[in-house]
Amino acid sequence: MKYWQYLVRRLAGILVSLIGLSIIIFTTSRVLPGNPARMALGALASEEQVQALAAEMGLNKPIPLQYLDYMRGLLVGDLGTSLETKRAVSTDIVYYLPATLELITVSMFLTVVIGIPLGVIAAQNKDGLADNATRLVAFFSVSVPGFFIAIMFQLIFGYLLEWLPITGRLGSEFGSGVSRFTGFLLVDTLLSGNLAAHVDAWAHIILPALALSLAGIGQVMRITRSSMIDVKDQDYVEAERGFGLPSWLVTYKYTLKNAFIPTLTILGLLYASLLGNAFLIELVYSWPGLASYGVTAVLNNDFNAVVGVTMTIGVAFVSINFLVDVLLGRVDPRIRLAMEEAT
Amino acid sequence: MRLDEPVAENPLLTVEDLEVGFESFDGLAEVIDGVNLSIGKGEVVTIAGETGCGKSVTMKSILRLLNQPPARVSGEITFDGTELLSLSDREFERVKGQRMSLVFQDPMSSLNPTFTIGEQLTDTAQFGGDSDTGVVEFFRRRFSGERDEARERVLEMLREVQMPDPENIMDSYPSQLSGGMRQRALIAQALLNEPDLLIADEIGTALDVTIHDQILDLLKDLIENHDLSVLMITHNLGVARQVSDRVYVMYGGRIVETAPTEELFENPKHPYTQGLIASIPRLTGDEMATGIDGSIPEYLDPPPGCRFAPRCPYATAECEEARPEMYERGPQTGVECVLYDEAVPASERPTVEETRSHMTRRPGKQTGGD
Repeated sequence: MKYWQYLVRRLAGILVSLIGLSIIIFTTSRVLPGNPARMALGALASEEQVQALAAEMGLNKPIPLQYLDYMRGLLVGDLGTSLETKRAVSTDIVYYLPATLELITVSMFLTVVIGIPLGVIAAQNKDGLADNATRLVAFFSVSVPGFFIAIMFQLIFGYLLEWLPITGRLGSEFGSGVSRFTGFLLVDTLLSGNLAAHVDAWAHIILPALALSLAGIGQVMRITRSSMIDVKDQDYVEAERGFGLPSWLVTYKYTLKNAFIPTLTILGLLYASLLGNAFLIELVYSWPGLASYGVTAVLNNDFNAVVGVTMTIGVAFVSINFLVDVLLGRVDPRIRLAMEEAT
Repeated sequence: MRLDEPVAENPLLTVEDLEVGFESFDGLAEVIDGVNLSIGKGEVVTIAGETGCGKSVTMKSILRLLNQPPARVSGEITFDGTELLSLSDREFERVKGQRMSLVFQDPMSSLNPTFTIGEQLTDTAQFGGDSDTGVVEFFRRRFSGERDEARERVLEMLREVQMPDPENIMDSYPSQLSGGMRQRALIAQALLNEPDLLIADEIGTALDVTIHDQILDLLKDLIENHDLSVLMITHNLGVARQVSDRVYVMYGGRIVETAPTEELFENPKHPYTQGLIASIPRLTGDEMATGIDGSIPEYLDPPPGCRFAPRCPYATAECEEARPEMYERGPQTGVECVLYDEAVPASERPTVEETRSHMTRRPGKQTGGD
């Protein structure tokens, strides 16, 4: 079996697990106490109005039928209407998701470009000053809650030093100069040709992204350090040094690639957990993202929105893990070859 | 007559009075105690001895692979006129990368599993020995015509080590190769930069016997074609006999005997060497020696005199008091044992048969049982 065939098989498995997820989420959202129609219409609406709306929403049909209706809608991109915003859930998700994805992607980027080099430096100075310093940083970044760091950042960089804005995604003065193409402001500002706005978007995103990434930086740093130390002691690394290859080449090409394998797995899991952790950060920075939309939906029993958001996060989660699988196969040929030999 | 040092003619590498100790919580373990050895140009020399006798530590001190501390290395190591121990790390790296090469013990773990054979070997061909290459310089050369030349050189070397289907092997990962193929790839990698001195640690012993023999034959051809000087390290006397010109027998961190290969096997002198040769299984004969009784000395508190004395059937009080001298017994032949003092009559010197008779034996043509 070729590796791509294995991946196709994995994709089929992913589809099945997504269907399973949708059944669970859908059923849970329907059997929870509270009448969505009543919630939508408010306390003042009459019982008849509530009944009429419930019928219109299909709430009096058996749950399996409601599920089938829902899935039929899903195939054409219809996720129902949000009771809270009165807009189609799909419209809301398309509106809110890019903000969250942008935040998470920038934090992942920071995690990788800060965490991995620090891990390498720590490994090369094992038990030295740099190692102990990064150990201390990792300890704090993992143990201090993200929202606390977020508030501290606002206090220090926004309020005391006044270097960076502390809320929102873009200064209000740029609102009219940027048209929406992708929803990713870092991209849209460039597409609109507005460089000043682009810089401003970076200024807005850097604090929340950093606050969100700190715990991950700590983890990635420690994992990279320990696997670098492991790999450095392998015979092949000693041999490569023995043949007189430049030591930076041995470290960053021949050692780091092997040491990156466990880090990559951690990165996949981190990306998924950031989707959840983003909520508190979005709250602190008034970031109009999917996490805050989802939490509002849950609190208001806005069941279509809840299912929509959960499914979106589910899809993001499995896509990232699939991507990690593809990358692992690229980085570590043993995984790929084992798959091909297994059948 | 006393032999200070059995010197090779026209030496490429000489090790004089090498001492290596390891600091530990229990004190200093004096592992290597005054080792002298030399390798002539074009000569193949083996250090043989059982596990723990210090042969790998000797090799690692020559290549500076020991971490200091805990290791403490003293003595003189001269490579082609240059004293190695006094060189800075950078200068040493240059000498090592350009003129020495090594083949590690285990072909399974000595190739990087995440790069193709071609990638690893071409990098070695292009940048091996150039440890000063910077990042910019690297990328300039990596993507120039030089890369293709290096690749060609690798292919040629793979053909020379009789790698089957070398073009295909270039694009394969180590896990796709058999043990013998990996060993060939490693030998090719070690020879890519035309070293003068090849250091081979237990070459082929991780492979099964038939492949092992093929590899040794190949090695012999390569040594001849490339005019290599070789330092081999092995616990297997058969390997020493098959490939080398001269053998050093090591015991307890000291060289106890040295002789040209033929002389050593036909006329072993030191009781330890005799014991080693007596324990080589034979197809004929009705009894088999199971090995030398006892085990290698404790390095934290070694015997004060001859380190083999506690296991030696001929040991006397004299042996336990002072370290014996290295006595010269013919050209390039020396033995560190009091029995070979001029004053001792030849009739009192033991033979292999005699030594065998002192060893634990078990009946031949039978398996199991003592």
